[in-house]
Amino acid sequence: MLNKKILLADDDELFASLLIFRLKKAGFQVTHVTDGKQAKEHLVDNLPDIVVFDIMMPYFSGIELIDHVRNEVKSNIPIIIVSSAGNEENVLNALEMGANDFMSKPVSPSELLVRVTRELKKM
Amino acid sequence: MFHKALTYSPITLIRAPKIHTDLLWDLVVLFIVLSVLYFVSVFYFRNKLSKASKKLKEKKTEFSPIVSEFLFYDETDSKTEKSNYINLKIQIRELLKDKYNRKVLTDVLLDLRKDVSGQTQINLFELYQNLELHKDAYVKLKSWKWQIVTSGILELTKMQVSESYTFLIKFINDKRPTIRKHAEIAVVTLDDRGISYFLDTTKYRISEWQQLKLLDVLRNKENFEIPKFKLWLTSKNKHVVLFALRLIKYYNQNDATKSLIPLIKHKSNQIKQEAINCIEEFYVEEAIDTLKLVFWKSSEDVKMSILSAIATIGTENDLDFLVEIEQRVRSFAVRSKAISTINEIAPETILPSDHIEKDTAFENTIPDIIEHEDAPEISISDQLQQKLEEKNVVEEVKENNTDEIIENHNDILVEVEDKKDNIDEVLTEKEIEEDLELTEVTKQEDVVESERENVTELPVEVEEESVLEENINQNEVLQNIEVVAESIAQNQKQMDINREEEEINEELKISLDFLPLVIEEQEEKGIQEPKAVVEDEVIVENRELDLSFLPLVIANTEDFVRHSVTSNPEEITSQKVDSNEPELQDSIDFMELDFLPFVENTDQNFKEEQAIQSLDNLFDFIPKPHQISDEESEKLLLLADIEEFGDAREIPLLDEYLANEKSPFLIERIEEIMEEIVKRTPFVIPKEKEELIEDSSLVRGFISEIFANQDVESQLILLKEIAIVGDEKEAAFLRTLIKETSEAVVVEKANEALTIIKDRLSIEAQNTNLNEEPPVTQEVDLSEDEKSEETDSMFDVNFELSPNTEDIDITLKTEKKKDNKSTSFGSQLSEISKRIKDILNGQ
Repeated sequence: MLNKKILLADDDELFASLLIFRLKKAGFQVTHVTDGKQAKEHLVDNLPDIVVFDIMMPYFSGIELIDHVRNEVKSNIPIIIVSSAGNEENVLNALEMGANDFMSKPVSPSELLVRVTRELKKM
Repeated sequence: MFHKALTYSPITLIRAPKIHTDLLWDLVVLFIVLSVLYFVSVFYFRNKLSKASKKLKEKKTEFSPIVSEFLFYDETDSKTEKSNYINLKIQIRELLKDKYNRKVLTDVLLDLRKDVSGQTQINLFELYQNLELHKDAYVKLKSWKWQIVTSGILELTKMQVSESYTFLIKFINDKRPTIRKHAEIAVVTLDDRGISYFLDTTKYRISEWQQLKLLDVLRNKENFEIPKFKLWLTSKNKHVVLFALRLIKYYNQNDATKSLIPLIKHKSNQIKQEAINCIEEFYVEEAIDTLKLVFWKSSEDVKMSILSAIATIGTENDLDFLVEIEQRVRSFAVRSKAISTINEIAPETILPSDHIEKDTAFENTIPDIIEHEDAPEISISDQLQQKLEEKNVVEEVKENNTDEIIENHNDILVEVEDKKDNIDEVLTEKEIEEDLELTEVTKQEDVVESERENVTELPVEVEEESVLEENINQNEVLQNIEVVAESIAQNQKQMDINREEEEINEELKISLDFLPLVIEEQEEKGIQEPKAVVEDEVIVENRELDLSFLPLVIANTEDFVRHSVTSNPEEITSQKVDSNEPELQDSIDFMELDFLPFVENTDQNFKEEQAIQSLDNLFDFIPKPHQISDEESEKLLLLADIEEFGDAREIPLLDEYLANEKSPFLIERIEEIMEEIVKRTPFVIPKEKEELIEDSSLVRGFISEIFANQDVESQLILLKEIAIVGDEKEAAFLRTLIKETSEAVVVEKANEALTIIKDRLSIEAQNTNLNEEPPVTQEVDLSEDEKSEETDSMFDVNFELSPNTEDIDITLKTEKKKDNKSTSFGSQLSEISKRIKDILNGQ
């Protein structure tokens, strides 16, 4: 899994830094953006191997980013949603739009690492 | 400035005040300064807050990797990482010397705590305590400000500082409710003994919301051994008892049954209700007596809970208690609950009764329902069943009313049974019985109803209750009824007869034709006999009323006796004329009753009269039956079909019927149909024109028309045939032919034929005179016709060709004679046509 590129889009920088630390420690190249606009730009410039989105973000929500990835970028890269808004509606919506996995906060960073690894292995 | 201001005159109400311009400028300057100060202050404080926020963010950014490093440190990491970890520890200890940094780090850890779970969260708690940040929380607990103390308790609780338990328990009975409530949560959260300590020591009220939060904490505690909450059922704090009851119910601690029963008698309704809920939940049968005991002094809510518990754990032994509740308690909810409880213990003990209409309410709606498309169909069997039920009610009335009624109707029923054997091949015996009984029921209903409403127009339906109520004093009522409106009763009698006929026919859809005569063996009396009802007269009346063929026999001569019209038949007529029905009156006016036979009652009818007399005219309203045998009814049906679909071809058949029929009304009916057919058939020759037709034109017209359409040769052949079979009619034709025809050969042949016919006729006339037989006329009666054996020739039949010669429609005159040869119109017609065809073909 070395050098696999992960795009992490989350406006909670403290939590993001925790995940970044954990993912980097596992050998991933993590790019962190704090809003949906930056995430779209990064997807155009440099398509990652896997993306981790939050749902509630400025400019574009995680659901809109899923739609962007699937329909505009037309990429099948794994998408994992990590959100505190883990109600049934959001989960179903995200999965229907094309997300590969959904994790509700509080999240165990180790568990997220396992899920990311698993999704990458599926490719 | 003030001096100048004072130099102005006082402000008036008329003109605007004069303010010095300098004063206005001064005020403008003042407000500008204040505005500047306001905006400067806003800018300053906003900037300050932004800087603080920015600084905090920077500090968090600075601390977050350090925290991450500490959180994800692993002993298996490389030496470099371990070295880095040690350096970070040293660095963070230096940072934590600063109070602000401690605060920031605490915030970071508290923020991360809500986002992470699992081992990372545990590491976070450990880090918090390793960095001795919890000591800052302890300091807060000593603050005199409630909010600081509360934040300290909350911080210790969130970061799971178990050792703070001993510091926090003292806040359980704190006077400040916010601190107390956070302390309660903290104590229960931080230590397993916390709930016991809390329940033991708390002296304050535990709010509903607090109970929910405490329950939530207990639910989410891992490896938590739940205490026996029955221990706190004896608490002096009733809120603790209540909370304990709820916890007992939630955790299904059903070993507290003995403690629960006394709580049913608790003064607090809340505790009482909760205890009852537990008793119901744990099926504490021993508590049922206590439940009954406390029921009557409990509030409505508690009563409902008790009833609910009894519904669950009660037995049929408790039904009396529940019935007592249903009868004594005024509360609608409790009564309803009691009824439902009864039905729960003993299903369907109490059936729906309120707002349920009586069966009799649907009695007269049955035909309407059947006619309605959407309504479900009600079978006749259902209707009969309903009638039989009603009959039972009326039978009760009969039993309670008078024995005379019973005897009388038994007599009638016996008579009906006797008659029944002679009739009815269509209906089964059972159906007959039902119908007869139903008829009796209907009569009884009408009698009672009419009696009660003083012979007025009323609906037939009889309310069961009203019948039973009437039943109580029925004897007295019946005995006290005086015949004060006999004429009204007489009218009502006829109306009831018609009404019952309609009702029975419409509702039951069963013909009453088979019903027997009440009086059959009427002996003809002399014309001066006072009790007389003429059958034929009634038939005429019925025809006027469109009852047509039904032989209505009025057997109840008691009417006339009662109305003192027994001495003179004319008075009988006048009595009937007094009725409200003009048709009847008219029909009676022209009738001659002198020649009609009088009818005398038999012994059976005498019994009936006795019963009727005892009922004081009640049976005036019972419809009189009509007797028509099955054979007659079949004939009537056949005649109806003939009337509807028949034409002139049925006249011979009707002739035959007419000859064989002995029943007067059937004879009249046949005659009516024949007249009807004659009227609507254009080819039928009216009776009064028969002779005219016979003498002249029609027969001659037929022969002459045939004759004219033939050539000379054919005419000669035809004349030859006429000479063989012709009679007077053909002779007349031949005379006309001789005068009008120019063909000499034809005239010669016609003369020959005429001579032959004349000779034959003269010989026949001589033979007739010798035999002295009377001449056969058209207007003989039936008896004479039957004796007549005259053989008609084919030309004896009066007929006429239609304008279209191909369509030979021949009509027969309506002769009242029975002659098979003359009535076989079809055979004559075929014979004629065959004969003509042969002639035309030269055979």
